[in-house]
Amino acid sequence: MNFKKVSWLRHLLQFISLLSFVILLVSISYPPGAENQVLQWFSRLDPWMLLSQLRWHQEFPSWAWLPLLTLAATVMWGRIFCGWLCPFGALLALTDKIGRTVLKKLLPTKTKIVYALKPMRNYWFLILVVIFILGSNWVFFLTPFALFSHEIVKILQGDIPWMLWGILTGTLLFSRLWCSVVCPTGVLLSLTARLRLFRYEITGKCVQCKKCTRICTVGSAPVNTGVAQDGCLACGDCQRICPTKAIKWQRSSYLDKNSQPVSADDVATTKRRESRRRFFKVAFAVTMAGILWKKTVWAAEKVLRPPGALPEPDFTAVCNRCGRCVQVCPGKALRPMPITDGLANFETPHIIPRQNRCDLCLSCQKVCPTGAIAEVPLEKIQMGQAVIDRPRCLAWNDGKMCYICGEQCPVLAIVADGQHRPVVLADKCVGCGSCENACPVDGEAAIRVFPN
Amino acid sequence: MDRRQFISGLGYGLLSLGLAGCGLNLSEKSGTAQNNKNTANNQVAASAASSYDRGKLIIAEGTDPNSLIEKGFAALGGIGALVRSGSSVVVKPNFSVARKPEEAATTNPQLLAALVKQCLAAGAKEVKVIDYPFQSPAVCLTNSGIKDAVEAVGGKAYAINTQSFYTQVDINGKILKNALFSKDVLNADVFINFPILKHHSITKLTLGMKNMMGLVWDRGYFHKTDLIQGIAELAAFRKPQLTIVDATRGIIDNGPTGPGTIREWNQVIFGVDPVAVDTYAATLFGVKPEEIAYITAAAQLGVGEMDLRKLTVVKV
Repeated sequence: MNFKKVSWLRHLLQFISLLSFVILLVSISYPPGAENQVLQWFSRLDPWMLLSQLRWHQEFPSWAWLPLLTLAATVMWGRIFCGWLCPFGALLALTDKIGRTVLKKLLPTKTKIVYALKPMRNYWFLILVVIFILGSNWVFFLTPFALFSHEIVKILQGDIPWMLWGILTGTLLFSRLWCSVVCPTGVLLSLTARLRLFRYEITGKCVQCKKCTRICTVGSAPVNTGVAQDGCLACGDCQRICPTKAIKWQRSSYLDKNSQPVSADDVATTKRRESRRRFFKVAFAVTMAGILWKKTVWAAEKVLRPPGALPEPDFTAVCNRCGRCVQVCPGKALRPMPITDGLANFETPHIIPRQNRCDLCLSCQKVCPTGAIAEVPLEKIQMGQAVIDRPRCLAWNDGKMCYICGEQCPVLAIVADGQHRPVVLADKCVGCGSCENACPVDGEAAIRVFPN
Repeated sequence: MDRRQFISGLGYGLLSLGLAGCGLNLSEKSGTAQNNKNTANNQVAASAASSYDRGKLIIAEGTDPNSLIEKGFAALGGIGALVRSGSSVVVKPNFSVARKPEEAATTNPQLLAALVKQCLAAGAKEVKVIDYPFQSPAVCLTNSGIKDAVEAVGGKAYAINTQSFYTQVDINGKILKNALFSKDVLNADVFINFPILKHHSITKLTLGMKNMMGLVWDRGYFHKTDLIQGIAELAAFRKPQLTIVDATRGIIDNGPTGPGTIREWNQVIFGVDPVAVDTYAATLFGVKPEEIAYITAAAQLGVGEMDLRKLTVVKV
């Protein structure tokens, strides 16, 4: 096999993926068009997208074949999604390359750390799954399409993408630790890859030079086990560097020995048996933590959510914080919530009407990849309810001919009484915040929207 | 020589002599400019104020946007009298709300496009179509169809929704001492106000003079103090060279935002006198002009004539 060609093809795919993802995201604007559609389909390659759909919407989406395709490819060839297609993976691969060139001295330590931390991923995965089942989408938030996307949006909004900087720094120091241990998609595909039909295996004479161990970015080199471990990105670096050309890409050898597919990681399997007790303890702790966490975070104060948002706590659970709604919002009404509003709310979109009103263009519904902002028609939207503070209202208190709130209400939910004083029709008000935004009273508005 | 002509002349004079920043002999430089190649531009303002008859209202009737605009200008005396070669034109339509053209709450985009075409054909250097919408610029410009229509014929359409589009001006009114007013309008050679005739919940109707509020940064101030007097004082401060009212169709209730009941008049009103134009439009709508408080207030400030009998109304 021509190593160079394969390597070139992989880099090309990664480059296209990274570039197109960034361009698509940056070009999302009102009204959302083809760029949104392409991005939707692209991000559906992530199997977590399907799991999330099944968990919260209990329906099999029409696009299910895309994530299933990823899973099928993983069963065939391992984590080629992570190594060849993932845009965030591509960025981290590039960062890692820089890290390896610039911080050469760190290489031995880096390799040790990656190998030492790798087993942690199973516990981490367990935590994520427990939280996921209990009803939170932290898992989803960390998946590459969501995380990378919301960090790009942060940059576009002029905020500091501290998660991105953190992950990039981590990658410079510890190689692709994020991809192999933390990323929920990466870990899920690692587990799936245990069944894979093709992999790198040592077939020739291994001289224990450990060059493959050092070059492997995810700590999955075949040197100790004879086969590339399940985290393998199928990048082929080990094959290329092997001085004795002992590593080959071939049909998994277990398929020949035994028709029953067994775990490729025999060593890991024994280890797991030994630590079963520990595993259950961890599971128990995580469950308790999850339940307690659920109680605390949803006590947070209600905020105005985008039009069509699922009722809380489903909204925070389904939203993957990708930030596309924030990016598309033409009036910049949707803003991500800061971490000070609680972990469950962190980075979820909300509206502060006094700053920016919702124009009810409903573009956020169109760009939402998860259905957290459901496609609800204008007539059925119920974001909140406007209430007039009569003692502070210019019309009610000063007899001024103000009525700016009624003038600007897009759904005719404010009517004037005989003296031009505004009255809110509760059944018509959708809570877009136009009135609160337009109210000319200094400081807090004399008409305020209270979230439903 | 009015203020605008003076500023324009001064600007060209300074430019042509390469003496930007020099404040001496202003009138001489203004005079010099009359003799250089920019002469045509300097005459724009003078002709704008005088070329069209103040006492005349042109009512174009029909449904075809291009012919409505063409007929109107032909009856006024030709667009060439207003828009000279190289002049910059600012048009202020109403796209303050995110409604579609068929919802009849924003100026008809086809009429606007027809106007922009005419201005460019008359040699305008640029035609800017501006408003300060309630809602976000992208939504209003897109939904109203104005961005697409104006850009298709070579004009520019944008929202003046940041403070950088405004500059402080002295208005010296009772309510409005000063205000942040649109720079685009202040710097334009030709300023055309192009409202839509529609219902307004608080002032009953939104017409030419009410439309001017979209050129002021702090509209809340009007509502906080005295909306009617504010509109009248603003009308006295800066009169457009021409007001064109889109009375082809408009909402007759639930204004200004709508959606409302749509009525068709299939008319476009052209006039120099903002009070006269609004008076005619109110009558067309079926409201007594005296009931529109800002028309009366503006007439009292001497902005224009409310008595239609003193005007020549020409239907084309």
